Amino acid sequence: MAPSVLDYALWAATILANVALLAVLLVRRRCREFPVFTVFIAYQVVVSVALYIVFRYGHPHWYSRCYWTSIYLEFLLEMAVVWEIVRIVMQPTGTWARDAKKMFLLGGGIGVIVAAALSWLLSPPALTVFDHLNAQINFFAGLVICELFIVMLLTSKWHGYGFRNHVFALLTGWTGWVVVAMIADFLESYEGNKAYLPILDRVRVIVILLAIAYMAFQFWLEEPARRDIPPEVLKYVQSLHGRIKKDIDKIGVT
Amino acid sequence: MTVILQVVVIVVGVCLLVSTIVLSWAKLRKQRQRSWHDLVADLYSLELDELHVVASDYLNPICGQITLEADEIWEIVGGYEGLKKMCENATIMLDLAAHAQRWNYLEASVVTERMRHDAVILRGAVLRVELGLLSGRMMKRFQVALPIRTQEAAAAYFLMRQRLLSLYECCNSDLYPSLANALQ
Repeated sequence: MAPSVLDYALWAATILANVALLAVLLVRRRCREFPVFTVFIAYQVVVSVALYIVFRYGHPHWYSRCYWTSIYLEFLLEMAVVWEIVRIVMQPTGTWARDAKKMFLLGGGIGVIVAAALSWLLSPPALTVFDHLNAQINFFAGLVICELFIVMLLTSKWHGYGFRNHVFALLTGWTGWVVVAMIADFLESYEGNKAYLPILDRVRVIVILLAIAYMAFQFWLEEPARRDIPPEVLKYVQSLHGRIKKDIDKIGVT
Repeated sequence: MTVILQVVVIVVGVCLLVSTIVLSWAKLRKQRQRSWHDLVADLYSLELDELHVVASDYLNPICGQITLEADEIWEIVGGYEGLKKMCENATIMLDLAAHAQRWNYLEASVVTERMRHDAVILRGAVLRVELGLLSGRMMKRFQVALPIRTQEAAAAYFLMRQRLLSLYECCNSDLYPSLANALQ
């Protein structure tokens, strides 16, 4: 089905919203604290424009290839953004608290296995093996990101870490974005040619637009200044973490 | 497996995932909105004098270290309910330590990191107690260590409390009495 004027408008609005968010990140210098997320948003802008050009002037076959390649690259960037949030929240002194890294990686590993199992169960009535595989991988990517969010929230709660304003805004906006995208992808893979799918796709784009607007607004606002810890105190805290871990290993407390 | 069953499993999995995300996020949001007074008001009251006896027995070993019986330790900490209250208080105490960074950033940062380690020991000990309370052969080793873990939890809680009170005594003497009163 050919896209309507509304679809083109939403497409353009997404590009503009991403440009606005990128501008906020650069102008307000949030890119210093969130370099990976800034790259992720820049990537969204470039990919959206490139896909539009390929869609308008290229062969449909090329559009499909470009789209799926961009999805895989996006997944890698999303993983990097999750790691960036983890680093900001759980390493305020530049070092991991006892067991925090182990807990996050273990939980993440279990999450990947659960995501793989659920994706393997997915058997959409796809036209080709390629489409089937893409649907499964796309669903897997959405599940992994959602599960990493949960593991991150649980690990930070267990270790008593708080979220500052900007990182909380990123978590909130991006969670909405990822969850809605995952549900929409799942429904699309099963109901590929149903009449309500264009509506579903528009709902997805509108939620993403709201998430971007919320994040842009929050990143524009200042948060209470973070004071730098002097190097000697930082060194003391880092040696404290190391010493406690060594002592605990020695006495065998698990 | 039929297609319908596969879809049901996936839908249940996705629903669980999404509801967990929403609940965790809502809890985090609520936690961020609490003021200093809200935090102090949410602290549970515990029998501190008796808890001190259990913690001191663990932290300051003296002659006659087996005077406290396992049942006695369990009763003093208030059983499983008491341990859960300690975990809740530990979360609040970490938030209160983070508040203190406004008045004495350096000391509060270091004390918060120390308290974080205590909190991990406390939660780990409570988790092992929970496993010990389950029946079954696989849980045997947790059942044997139940009094030790209970005492470990009490000691970690007591250390956290002492660290927090000392921090407030130094950096905010106005709020110290309210906090000391709430942590009785």
